[in-house]
Amino acid sequence: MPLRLLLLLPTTTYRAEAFVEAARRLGVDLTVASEEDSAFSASRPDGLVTVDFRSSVEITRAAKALVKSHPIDAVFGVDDETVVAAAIAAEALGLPHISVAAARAAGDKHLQRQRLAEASVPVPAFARHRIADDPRAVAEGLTYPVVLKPLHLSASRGVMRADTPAEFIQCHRRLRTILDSADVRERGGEAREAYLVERFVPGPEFAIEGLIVDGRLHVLALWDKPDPLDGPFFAETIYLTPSRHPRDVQDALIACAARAAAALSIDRGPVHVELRYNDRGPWLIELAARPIGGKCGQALRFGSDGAVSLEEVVLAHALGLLREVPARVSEATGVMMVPVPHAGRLERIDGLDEARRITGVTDVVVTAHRGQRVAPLPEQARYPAFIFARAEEPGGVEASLREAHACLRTVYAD
Amino acid sequence: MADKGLSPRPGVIDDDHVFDVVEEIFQTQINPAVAQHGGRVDLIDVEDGVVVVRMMGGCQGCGMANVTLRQGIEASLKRMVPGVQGIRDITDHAAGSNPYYAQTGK
Repeated sequence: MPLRLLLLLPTTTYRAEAFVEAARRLGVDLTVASEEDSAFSASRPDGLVTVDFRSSVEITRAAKALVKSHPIDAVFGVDDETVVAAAIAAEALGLPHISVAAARAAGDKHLQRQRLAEASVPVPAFARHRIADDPRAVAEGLTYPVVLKPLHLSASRGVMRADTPAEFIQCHRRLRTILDSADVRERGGEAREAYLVERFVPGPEFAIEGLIVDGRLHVLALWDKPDPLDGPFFAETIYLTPSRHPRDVQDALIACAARAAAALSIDRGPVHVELRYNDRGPWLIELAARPIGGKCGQALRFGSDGAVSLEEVVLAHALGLLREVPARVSEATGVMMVPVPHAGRLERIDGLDEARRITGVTDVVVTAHRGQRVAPLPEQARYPAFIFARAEEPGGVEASLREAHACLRTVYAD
Repeated sequence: MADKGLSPRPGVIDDDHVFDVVEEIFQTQINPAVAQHGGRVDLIDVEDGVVVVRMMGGCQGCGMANVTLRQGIEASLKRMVPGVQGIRDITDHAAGSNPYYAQTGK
């Protein structure tokens, strides 16, 4: 009898196809749980379930109901919210998973900072404030530059740098509007009541894609982010691997990520870690107990022939099918998250064929749809397209990504 | 009685017959279900037992289109029509203008 995976997929994710196809390639039976109904929920109750990811009671009830008719071998959540839900379900079913406390700490920027600081992991100086508090009083006591961050939003949404008290007050006003937007209001609670202020840490930024097996961090990829992330907003653009930085820098970053995971009691499963490095060494910016977001995982291939996806690796580990952590294919690879030039209603993106013909470009994927309202950071964190490239060296990948991006023209309807 | 979708020759799939059976299921079950989300799925062809489809309306560009395809449509067809080997989606999802679930998050 095949193993069965309970996969928690929010309906807004970019990654449904990658994870569903990974489960198929692993040959496991799949139950997909989402927060909204599928058109086939009624006819396929073993394959499609609806559950409110924010309700511990409902998650536990749904998992226990499902397992009565279809034994579950693993539970996997693909984003910050569903990782917590997966931990709750796994705990209810007695399946291996990171603890609920660890999942919650990873998903809350302030709680995470506290845990890391207590464990002496280098993090920026930080403080939590209520959004309702007078920003002028907060601004007066700060050492600039600082970064304002929402506690629960991802992909740098709402993250802003302020260099002066006046800028801080402007950023605070803007953040308050973001926290009052409809989708954030839906989350409710502390997500929109508080924010983090931390010292800006200068230096290049990196990301580590890792898999923790038996408490040990295995690095699947160490990404360079060649575009400076100095603010005032922090739009991610290019990720390149392997890193072009010296080995000792890479080792220090990996050691810092491993310490952070241990400090958060993340003892198994995928991690995506954002770090900076400067003359004082590595700094842990954020750790998420999930793989990289967006379509970016598509850039990573594993195994001797590159036939294995990142999603297959992490699902295989969750199901106990991974005998050893596979090596990434040796060639350099990268992805560019195409930024939104300005706010508006998207009509189309021109130049796709031209971009796809650039040497080294392996794919250009459009994720926004015609008529969709798009806006740049910090208000929104949606990427209308992703460009992928491969080459012998990271420099070649970067050149291909930039050349392909130069071919694209975002056309607005208004 | 032979399984629906299988030709008299053992091991050889009669694609034309599978097409007819699948088309009826699309009309009576699949499309009424996806219509709840403003979608439609057109049956394009059957090639060696692989059902070729194009998704329209709310399904085109939907963040959960693949889930609907694999967990809903393919699983149902495999259960109901033994000759069905799989399903192939030829939809240009990037051209969808009104997806039921827009891809907006990580």
